[in-house]
Amino acid sequence: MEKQEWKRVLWKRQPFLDNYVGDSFLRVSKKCKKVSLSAALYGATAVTPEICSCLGLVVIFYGMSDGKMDSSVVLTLTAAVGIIGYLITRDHLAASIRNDAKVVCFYVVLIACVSPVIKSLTGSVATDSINACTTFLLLLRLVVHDYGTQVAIVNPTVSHNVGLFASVCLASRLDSDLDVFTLMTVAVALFALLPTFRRRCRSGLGRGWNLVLTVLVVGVTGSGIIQYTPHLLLVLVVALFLCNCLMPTLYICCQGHKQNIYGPWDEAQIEDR
Amino acid sequence: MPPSFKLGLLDLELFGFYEKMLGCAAVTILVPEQLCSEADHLLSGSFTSSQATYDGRISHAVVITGVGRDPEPHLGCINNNRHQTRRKPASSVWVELKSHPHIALLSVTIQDRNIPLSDVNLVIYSATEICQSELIDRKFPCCYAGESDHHANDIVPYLIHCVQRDCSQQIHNEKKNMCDRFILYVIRMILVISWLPKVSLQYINSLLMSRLEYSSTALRQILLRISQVEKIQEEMKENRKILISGSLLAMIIIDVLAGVSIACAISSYASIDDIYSSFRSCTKVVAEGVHVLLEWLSGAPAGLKLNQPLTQALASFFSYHVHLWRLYLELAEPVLRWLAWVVVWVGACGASAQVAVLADLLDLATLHLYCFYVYAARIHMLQICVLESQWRAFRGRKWNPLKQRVDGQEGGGSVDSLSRVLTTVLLTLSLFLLPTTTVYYLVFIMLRIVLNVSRGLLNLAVWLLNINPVFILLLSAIGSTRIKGDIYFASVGEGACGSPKHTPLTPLLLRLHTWSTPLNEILSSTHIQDFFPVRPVPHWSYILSSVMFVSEPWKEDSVEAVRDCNKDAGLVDVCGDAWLVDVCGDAWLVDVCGGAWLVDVCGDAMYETETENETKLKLSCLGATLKQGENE
Repeated sequence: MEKQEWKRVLWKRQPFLDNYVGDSFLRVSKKCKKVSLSAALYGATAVTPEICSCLGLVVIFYGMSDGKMDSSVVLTLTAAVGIIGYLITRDHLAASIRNDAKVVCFYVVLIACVSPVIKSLTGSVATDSINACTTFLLLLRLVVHDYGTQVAIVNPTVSHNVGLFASVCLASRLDSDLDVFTLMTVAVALFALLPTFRRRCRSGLGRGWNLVLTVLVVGVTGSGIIQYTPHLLLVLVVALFLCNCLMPTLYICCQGHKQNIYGPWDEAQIEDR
Repeated sequence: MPPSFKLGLLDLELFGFYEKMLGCAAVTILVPEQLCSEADHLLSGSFTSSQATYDGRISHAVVITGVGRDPEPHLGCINNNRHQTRRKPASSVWVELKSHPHIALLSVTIQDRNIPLSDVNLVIYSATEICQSELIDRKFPCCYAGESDHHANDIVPYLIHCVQRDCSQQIHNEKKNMCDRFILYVIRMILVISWLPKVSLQYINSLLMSRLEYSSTALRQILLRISQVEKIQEEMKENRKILISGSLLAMIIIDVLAGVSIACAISSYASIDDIYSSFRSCTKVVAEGVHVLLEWLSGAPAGLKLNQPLTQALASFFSYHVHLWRLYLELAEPVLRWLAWVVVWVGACGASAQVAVLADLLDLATLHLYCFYVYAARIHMLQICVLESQWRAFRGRKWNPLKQRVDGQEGGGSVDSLSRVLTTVLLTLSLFLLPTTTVYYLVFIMLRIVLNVSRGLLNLAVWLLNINPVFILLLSAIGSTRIKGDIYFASVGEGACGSPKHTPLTPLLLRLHTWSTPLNEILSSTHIQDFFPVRPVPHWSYILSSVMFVSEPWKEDSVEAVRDCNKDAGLVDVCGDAWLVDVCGDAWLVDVCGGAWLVDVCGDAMYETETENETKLKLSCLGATLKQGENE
């Protein structure tokens, strides 16, 4: 019996026949990594705050358009939260304070000038169309957002821009200039500034703190929904359930089926070593 | 009896067949039929001989053009009395003919050698036909300089050349008849009178073309008319050709008669005031119509829901423009009165001038619509540009001017969030305001297309009046000899017109007939482009592309962008100086090591030159200007 192991080389004299193929005939993909349930569940909690920010935007929109929320209050609250966040992360930022102040000024002027135009932008479009459009755009945002993985579908520019596009669509439904300005500011805070803040938190703090923060965010969103838009509560619950419970479990169950068997007839696979 | 057939010019095979048919005849004698029944005279003409290239045989051709002109060398004589022989041994060829009762050959001597008559072809031709025909030398051009070339192989061009040269010498000695002199006098008076207007009109025309890029149909027509009159004068002075001058004259006369009759008809129906007031009410109706249109657009046109603030702003802007236009019309009243008088009485220059002035008036009256079209087009194009560029930025892509392509943004993630906000805001605004602008753009484009179509129809009418082929049709209907342009040979049959019976010892008797050229060839050869304008054909691809993309106002901008892109991207050449060239508005040139590459923006056309002189020559051929860019 041949004790020597058959190696797939041509220049070596081996005591096997020329057409011998050993155990390496069918190769199993080296790319499959086993993921545990807790890791999957923890990873899913990265999506939850995004869902909550999207729903939060919708809540604020409904609140302001129904008149229950005062837009100046929302504006001051957002500004305060923004300044706090800025102070916390100031050490990590590359640009100087002057540049950031200039950016903020420019942004304020831009949105203030554009608000009256946005106010009457979709006067001729039906409400249902706007609602459908916004839903679709926010879903798109969730799909292409950068959650920390390196996948081909991720496009941070598109997710950022689509979120702002959806907020412009919503803002065009409001009545006064200040409302539009407030909603745009909230949208920029939620979609442009918060994700970077969250990414930094996630990489900086430990697992426990991240979970606490996530629960906090969910709680705030839930209370907002209950207070201003009760009809969205079901949406929140279903989304959270899908994202945090169903998808990770499905993923773990289906992992076992993810076994690709390759043979010599396949294209060469470049494996990262 | 051999059938008759036409002789093609450079058809050597046919000629060979002809020669075989004629046997080994070495001499061809061409005699005009006008010599029939002439008295005894000396003959004059020309003679040539040449060697056939394929078998070295020498063949001779003798062309007899007329009788008895003393200074010229004589080729032979008509000898009706057989008993007398007059001989001039000095000449190299001597032909004796008999002219009663029909033309027959008596003897031929070439270089002191008597040629047997069976070796001779006798061709009878009609001198008047060949003299008067104006198109025949176009078909059989005699391009030889001297007489010592291979003429005898191409008998027909040689014959035509000799006969027409003879004719023109004769005509030169004659005087012009009274009718021609009268016409020339009238034409000279017209040209003298119209010299000053012509210069001033040319100046105005060039000013309009260079400053406003507007080609006025009326000015063009009047200048064309003057140049046609000049051409008539030139043709009539030079020679006896009447095809071109005749057709021009006929066309101008018909045109002027039509114009004067229209002017008289109009002025007998209505006075100048009536014409002017009807013109004013027309423009008022047009302005009212535009107002109604704008109000319709500011509502919900065709059920489309437009953006209300924007549509109301645009409608009020355009309405203000219409108001300005009405004010302008009231201010320009005296000029318009004078214009109405001009329209009627410019018929003295011809009906085509009247139609041309009408076309220009149409342009003038709808100037405000043209302005609207330009505004709407610019706004629309601006929106589309913004949309396109922001859409690219929306997806995270960028235009790479060096490689002239769109790149992804994988490497450069340094776009800060403010520019992203700006991108989104601009995109949203452009996207939602686009339907409104598009509606306005489409409406004004439709109006402009209608106006262009009507202007094209008027131009077509002017062109039709300019290319009246009445004279040529008349000539071809009466079968005039002036339009005969083709030749065929027929053999003279036995017993026809008293010709002698054929025996093996007599020469082969042929007759040269002329044939009319087909009508389209005559028209294409006489209608020279300078005096008969080309048919105005609309360029459909240009029209469509200018409708879709409004190429006119933006042409310079795109070239500028290309130039700037090249500067920014640093297209550096080895010798250190980049040349930027405007070739028809859409190309640039890079100078590398003294030679040059002329490239089209889409990369289509490429000319490569080696040295600087070659570059300059090529550019001057393309009609381009050279501007030196900065050193990079």
